[in-house]
Amino acid sequence: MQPSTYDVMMLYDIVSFAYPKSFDELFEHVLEKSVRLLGVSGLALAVLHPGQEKTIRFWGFRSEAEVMEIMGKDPSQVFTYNLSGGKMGFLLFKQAHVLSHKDKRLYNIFSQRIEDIVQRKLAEQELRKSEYEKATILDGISTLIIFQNLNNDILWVNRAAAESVGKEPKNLIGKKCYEVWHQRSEPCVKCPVIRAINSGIMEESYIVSHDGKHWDIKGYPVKGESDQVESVIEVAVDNTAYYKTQKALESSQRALETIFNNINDAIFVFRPDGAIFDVNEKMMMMFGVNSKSEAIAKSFAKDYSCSQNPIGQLPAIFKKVMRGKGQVLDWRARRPSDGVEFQVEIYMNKLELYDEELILATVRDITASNQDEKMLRNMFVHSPIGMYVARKGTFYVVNQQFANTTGYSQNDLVDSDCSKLVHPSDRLQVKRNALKMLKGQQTMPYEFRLISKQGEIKWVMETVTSINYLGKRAVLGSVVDITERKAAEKKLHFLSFHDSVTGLYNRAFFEEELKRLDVSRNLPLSIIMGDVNGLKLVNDAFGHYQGDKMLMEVARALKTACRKEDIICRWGGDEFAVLLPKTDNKAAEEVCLRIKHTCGKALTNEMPLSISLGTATKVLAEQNCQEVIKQAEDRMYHNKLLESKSYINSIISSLQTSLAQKTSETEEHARRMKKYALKVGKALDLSADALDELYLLAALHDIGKIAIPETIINSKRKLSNHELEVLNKHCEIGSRIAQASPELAHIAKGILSHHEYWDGTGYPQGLKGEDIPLLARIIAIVDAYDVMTNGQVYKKPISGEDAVKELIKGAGKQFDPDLVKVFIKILDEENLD
Amino acid sequence: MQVGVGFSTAHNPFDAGIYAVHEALQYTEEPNLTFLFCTDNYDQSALFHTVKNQIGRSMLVGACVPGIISREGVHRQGVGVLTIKGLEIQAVTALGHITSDSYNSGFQTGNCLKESGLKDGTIFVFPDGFAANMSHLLRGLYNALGSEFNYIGGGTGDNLRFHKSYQFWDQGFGSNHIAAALVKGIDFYAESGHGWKPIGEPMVVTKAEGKIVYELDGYPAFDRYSEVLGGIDRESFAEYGMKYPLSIPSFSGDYLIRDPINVRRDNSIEFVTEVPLNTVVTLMEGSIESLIDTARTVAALSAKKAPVIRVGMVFDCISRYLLMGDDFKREIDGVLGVLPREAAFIGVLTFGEVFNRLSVPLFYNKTIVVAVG
Repeated sequence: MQPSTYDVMMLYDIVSFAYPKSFDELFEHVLEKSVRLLGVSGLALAVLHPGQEKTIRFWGFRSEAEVMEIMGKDPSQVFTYNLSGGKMGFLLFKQAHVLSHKDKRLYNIFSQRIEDIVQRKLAEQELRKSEYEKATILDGISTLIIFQNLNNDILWVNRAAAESVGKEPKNLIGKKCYEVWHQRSEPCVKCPVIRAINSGIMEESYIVSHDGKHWDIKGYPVKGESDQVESVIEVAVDNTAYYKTQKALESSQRALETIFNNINDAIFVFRPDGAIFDVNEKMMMMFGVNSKSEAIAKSFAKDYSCSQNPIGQLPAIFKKVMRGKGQVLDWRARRPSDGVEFQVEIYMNKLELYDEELILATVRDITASNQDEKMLRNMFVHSPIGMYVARKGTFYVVNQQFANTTGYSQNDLVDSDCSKLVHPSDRLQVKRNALKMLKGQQTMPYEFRLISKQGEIKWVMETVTSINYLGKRAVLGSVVDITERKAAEKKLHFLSFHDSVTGLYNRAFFEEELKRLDVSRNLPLSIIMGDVNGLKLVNDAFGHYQGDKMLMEVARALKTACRKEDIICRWGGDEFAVLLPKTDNKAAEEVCLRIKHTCGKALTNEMPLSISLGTATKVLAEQNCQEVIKQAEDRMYHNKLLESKSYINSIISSLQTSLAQKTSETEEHARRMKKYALKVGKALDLSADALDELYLLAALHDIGKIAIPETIINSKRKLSNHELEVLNKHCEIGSRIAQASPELAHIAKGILSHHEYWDGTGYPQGLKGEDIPLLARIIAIVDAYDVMTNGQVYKKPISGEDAVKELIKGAGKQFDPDLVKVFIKILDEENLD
Repeated sequence: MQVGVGFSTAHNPFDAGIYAVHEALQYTEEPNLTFLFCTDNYDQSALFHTVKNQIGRSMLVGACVPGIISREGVHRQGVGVLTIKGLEIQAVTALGHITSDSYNSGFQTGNCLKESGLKDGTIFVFPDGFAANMSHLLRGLYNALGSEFNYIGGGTGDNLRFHKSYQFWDQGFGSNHIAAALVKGIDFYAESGHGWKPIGEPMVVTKAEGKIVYELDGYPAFDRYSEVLGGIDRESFAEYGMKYPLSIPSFSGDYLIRDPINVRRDNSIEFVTEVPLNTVVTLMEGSIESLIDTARTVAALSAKKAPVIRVGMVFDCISRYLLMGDDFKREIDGVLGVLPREAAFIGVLTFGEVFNRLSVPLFYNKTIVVAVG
């Protein structure tokens, strides 16, 4: 069978290699061919370098361990080839599919070729290595080697020697040794090389060169066949660092001696058997001995210790210290000279000195510190701040205040895990803060939540400090309960961003949010501006408490209608704003509709809620948000103009209905009022406009009663002075209601004045005579007549004649006398009819 | 799962970005992954930011390519956007700088994707098509990620101006980078082919470095190439080079085409992709019909493997497009012929194609890769 072009190309390609510079390059070539020609998914090449460990390169495997694991584990997809029977390493190919016979043949051919190259490469490496060793051993050492002839001309130097003067080795050949290293024109006086040439044996010396370096120099004569010295090898070792170290050690030793003798604690240095090896000057002062020899000659157990100490345990204690376990002893010391006893604390540690293992004992007189400790203990126990001492994350001792704060008893807390008290979410942060504070990186107290025994979450503020407690490192913590402060802060924080009436966000928050949300990813960004209709009217009619209720109702409606991601705020007064991120204009319009719909269903004081809305949308990043707000506001005002008028009228109408239900005044009363008032007006020949005004005033003069409690309006008993005062307010309230509507504003004055008396004794302003508006004077007469003739809850009706008598009686006092005449004339004419 | 595709040939990057994304988002609001391809006629920064603003939190991967392919044909100016959305879709993207150590660049990029913890899926790769060593790059990528992934993609760059190429991801874009995405939750089935056949006697690459072949059979590369073709002059090299590329053998009887693009002064030949030293090469010959037939076969093979086809993607070598001219539309129609009408479709012209026939991705030239998902 003739091989195809492809087969020929394939065969050639897998055996054709450029001789690689390195094993890395070989691996790269093998990998390229393996992936392209054989479709391998994993490759490993391990090479055993003679005398060294194997190096392994792999690809498509996570680790060498994975390579080793797969070898032989899945032979159906893995081809392994041992290089030189395994002596040189191995090759491993992994492929995605099961190996075919052809695959195996190709891998074999490929591997044999790689084996050839690895063999050559290793042989080359060996050759290079031996040459390298020869060339590099001398160059690799740090000792300076200078080979010179009898005239001190340099014949060869190693790299270290050349580098010591900043030159290349070849540049020093032929130069004089003393010129190069010592900047001299003649050999050094103590030069061992000159001496070696003369003596024929090795000579050595110690030289300080001009640059302050310390050299230990040896000269080795090299003899020829005739046993004559022919050349010399100079071997120089730079011992500058050693000499400096020695000097530093001496200096350090002097410093230690100074510290040893000036430290405020007495120091004993013991041998392992307890014999005193050395003491410092403080020891001699503390124990009243005159000399070091005297101090050393005494026994620590017998002379410097009181008998009540556990002296028998001292050998065991020394043994422990020698095993590296430091010991702390509370000891009763004794001054041998006068037998005075005093309390000391002894810290014992192992010490290596002068190649000897000794015991260093630091003795501290704690007579004074015991008193301090007592005071501190009292402070700890009685402190109003919660305090604890903890070791290794466990409470060691706690005071009563800390127990009170946590709700646990002191017994419960001791030996318990400190972190269990901390709220799980705060544990990590508390740990970090505590560590920072203990390291001195943080000074401010940190706050966290603590869970009391009763399960209550308390905010506390804590500081911690590292202390030495009974000879061991411990943490002293102070904890203050700040739960109430936190609650106040939370409320303050809420208030700073919320409107106190509606609970919605305030304008300050809105503006902050606007800044935050004004980024391109939130576009399109829509804004809705809203203005509550009729708030002034409600405030005027029912007072600000009712006005606030209306605002709350609107807020509730906004919350219901908007989505949870929308930001709703009270913009100020009767205005609201809504920020809608990622919302286009169409969706914002839908939200507006929902708001309107929700408001339409809500009622305050039996009146419908109404809000005028305007929306605008920011679509492009370059649009200014303030302009978008302005656009929304403009649209809102435009809508308000359209909606407000009809809304006010509907409110008035609602008020009238409510008033009728609230009082006993019937439609009949209103009808009669209108009838008589118009008759008087016509009799006075008033203009058409004035008649219209009179008609309205007749209908609405008592509209202010809507805000008067029903108990007062419908009271069957005589009203108290205070109740009368409240009732009389209806004129002012009614006037304000009328002023709120452009269509009723012109009768506001009439409403205000319809209880003024001709003689100035009426209310609310005490107007007199013709200062009282004409229409109000007419209404006063007509209203009085109708009430008298039709009765009220508190008054039975009287006859028309009696009523006229009453009018005549009131003329000039309560009523305009001329108008009374006009009215009586009308009544007379009516009776005639 | 929903897939959306949108194209625009508007001149302005803002308009083009908005129109293309808007069209794609009609099918997939808030996608998980967005592919963005554009030609070099746009301000890449403006286009990237426009698209980014439209797609919300979607991951993004893509590049500047020499041409965008839609159902209507090839657009030498345009923006193409493919969006994928679905609860089951998981996507992560990365952008790696391609340094002179291409292997490490691929390895680092693979490690970035691997950090997601996803153990399988499809890797889309869009490296700068003229980066140092594409084979090394892909081997590095594979070494980081392993054999549990499909690898699909293509070399990117500008319209043969060889100035600067751009690669995109959701956090920005870069030049001389590799953009990559790991997608899980949608299975992609891919196939590749070229339609070229070997002619003439094999030659040995006796001196080469990277993309430059200095000698074939020990002779200056162009001299030997010319001789095998019966003698051509340097001036006609561009035409012959396009019609008679070289190839190196690959496993399973396949050939990797290596596209010559330039004769240098010393008669060495520059290729689009590196040619290994000491390998055997042979001239290749193809006809428009064989190329189109192969494209159709490749599309049919990939479609046959997919149980459902919602999206088709094509990575087609720019040189096929240049060689075929108007007939290129037939190649695309051939691919579209086997895809369902309702499937989203997008393609790009590439400078080299990425595909793993077995486990490891290889870098192809003059090849078409069709992926369906």
